[in-house]
Amino acid sequence: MNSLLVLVWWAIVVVIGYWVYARHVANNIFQVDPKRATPAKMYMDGVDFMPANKNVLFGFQLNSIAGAAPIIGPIVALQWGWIPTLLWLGLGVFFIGWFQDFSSAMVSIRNDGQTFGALGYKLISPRARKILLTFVYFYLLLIACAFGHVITRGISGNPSLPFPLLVVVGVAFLVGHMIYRARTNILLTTVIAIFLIFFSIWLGTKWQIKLSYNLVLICILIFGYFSSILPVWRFIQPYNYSSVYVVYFGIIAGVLGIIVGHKPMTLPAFTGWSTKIGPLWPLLFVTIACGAISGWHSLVSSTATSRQIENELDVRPVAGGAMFAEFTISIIAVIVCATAFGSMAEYVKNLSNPVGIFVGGLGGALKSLGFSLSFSKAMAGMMIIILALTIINLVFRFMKIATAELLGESIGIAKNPHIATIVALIITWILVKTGTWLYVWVLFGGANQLMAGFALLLITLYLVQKSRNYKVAIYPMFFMYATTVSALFYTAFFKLIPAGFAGKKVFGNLFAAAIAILLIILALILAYDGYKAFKRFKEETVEVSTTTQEVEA
Amino acid sequence: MPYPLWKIKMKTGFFKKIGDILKGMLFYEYTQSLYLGKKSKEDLFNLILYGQLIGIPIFMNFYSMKLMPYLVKEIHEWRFRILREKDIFELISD
Repeated sequence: MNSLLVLVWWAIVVVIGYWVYARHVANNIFQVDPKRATPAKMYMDGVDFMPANKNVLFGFQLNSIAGAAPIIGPIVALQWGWIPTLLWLGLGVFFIGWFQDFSSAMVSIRNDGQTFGALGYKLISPRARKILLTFVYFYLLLIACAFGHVITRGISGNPSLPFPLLVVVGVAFLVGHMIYRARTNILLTTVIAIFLIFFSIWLGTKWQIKLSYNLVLICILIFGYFSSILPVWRFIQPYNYSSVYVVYFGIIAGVLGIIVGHKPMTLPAFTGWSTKIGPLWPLLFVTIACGAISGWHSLVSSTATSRQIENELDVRPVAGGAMFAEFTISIIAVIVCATAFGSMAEYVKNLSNPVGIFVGGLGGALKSLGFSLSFSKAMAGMMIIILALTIINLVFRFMKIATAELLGESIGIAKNPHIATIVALIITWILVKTGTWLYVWVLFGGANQLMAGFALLLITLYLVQKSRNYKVAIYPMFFMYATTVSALFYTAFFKLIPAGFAGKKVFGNLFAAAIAILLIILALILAYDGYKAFKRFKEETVEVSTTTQEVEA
Repeated sequence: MPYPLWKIKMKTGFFKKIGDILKGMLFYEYTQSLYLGKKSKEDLFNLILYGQLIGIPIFMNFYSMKLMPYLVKEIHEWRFRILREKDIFELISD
């Protein structure tokens, strides 16, 4: 099948999803009101609560939510075939993904811009906040391990990448210094940064450096340490800023390359209900962590975005629109990878190196535009590794603070930023070295989708409280909960524990299994608290309507 | 001389939308961070001058009164920023 036909599916999902279904939910269920004051207009503190233009916010939201997960997830999911992958991507984003992002922002806006932690405390139970924080901590730990392996394998397997990556890190420090200290013009700084980065990518194809897996892993952890400890303006901000040009050049060029090349999909449409990783249900639905639905987005929507929305009418294009845009990135990843290999066997052989798969696919697409194959592959590799490193920056930074928040009162030393960061780095190193990557990826997806379940639970409770139609939220919530808990259960008891007891990567597999079991227990506690809160709100709603009827009578 | 047509197009309609989206993707996070740095320095300055407004007994009445006409517009924003309870989940958007 020609890969361009996938764009027909994309168009159907986006047009009907955004312009029909999303509009119906926004107008009839949430009843968006352009005259209602948003927190940005109510508080106007000049920093966090500040109304912003919806197009600017759309770009910001897309930048915040788009990472390497919408690319890597579909790459791994293709082992079930591209039909199940495309179906879940399309139906997931249509019914659940955009709805979660949109509703998270709306619920936060209607509650004075409070974060989901505060809302969980208020609407579910006081321990819901701690449960969410634990989900977030393990989600970040698992993402550090999953992406740590992806990056390490990608760099050690591609000798043209180490040099440009070193240049990108150097450029980050340079840009930070030029903007904050030397007060250089932003346009000049940007031009210099872009020139240095693209030139180094080209030069990297000539100056190839072969590095071992262990050495690259140590370098990534050192990178993570400095990301966590240094001030934001010194490294992370300029790194994110200067590298975003590489990423979006890659996406735009990739789209053009797909249209110009329009290769056929060489991987099979459907391989079966069970593969090496496990059964299609529930594992497909957690393997694709972003692109269809991601709990992380609910946290982003309920913090930065909800506090800068000027008008409730802007929420659908900003939050919902950004999710459909991320779905687009996943579709590109599916097309790129499904056209990269001659056979399924070749794809499966490369499955533990998703960067290699992506490089092969996108490299081919860029070559259709006239770039040399070596530059195209280097460009594709840089794009995905930069995306993954952007997440690593945030991960260790947040883990440092989450450790202090969770353990700081009982273990005083947990408050020390260096100790907290080093503990997170050591756990990451252990899991990367001793864990099985494919199962760690499933656990990461599971933790992410559990946060989505939490978000959908909050949205359900909000809609019940306001006596609105909560079925649009409660059915997706049941689906996410059932699927995620099943996926974690299956991975822990049918894959990790048997592998551990069979002597394969014992520590890593059993540790990962322990994380999975902990997440299952927390999910069940949360489900119980959510059920009690649901009953409470339903009874209050019945009391209010009974009282109203008595008064009217 | 008539205003160049390309400049008008950049300021209105479709091109402005694209420009705003690119601004959001590329610059927004950075400008917010710069703005936050600037505001935290102003917060410190306001704290020294008007600490008594948030319950901290700092009395710099001479300077407080002298600078009041210039800073009165910002006092509400400053108080809200300083006194607002911060949540760890806000760091996710950083």
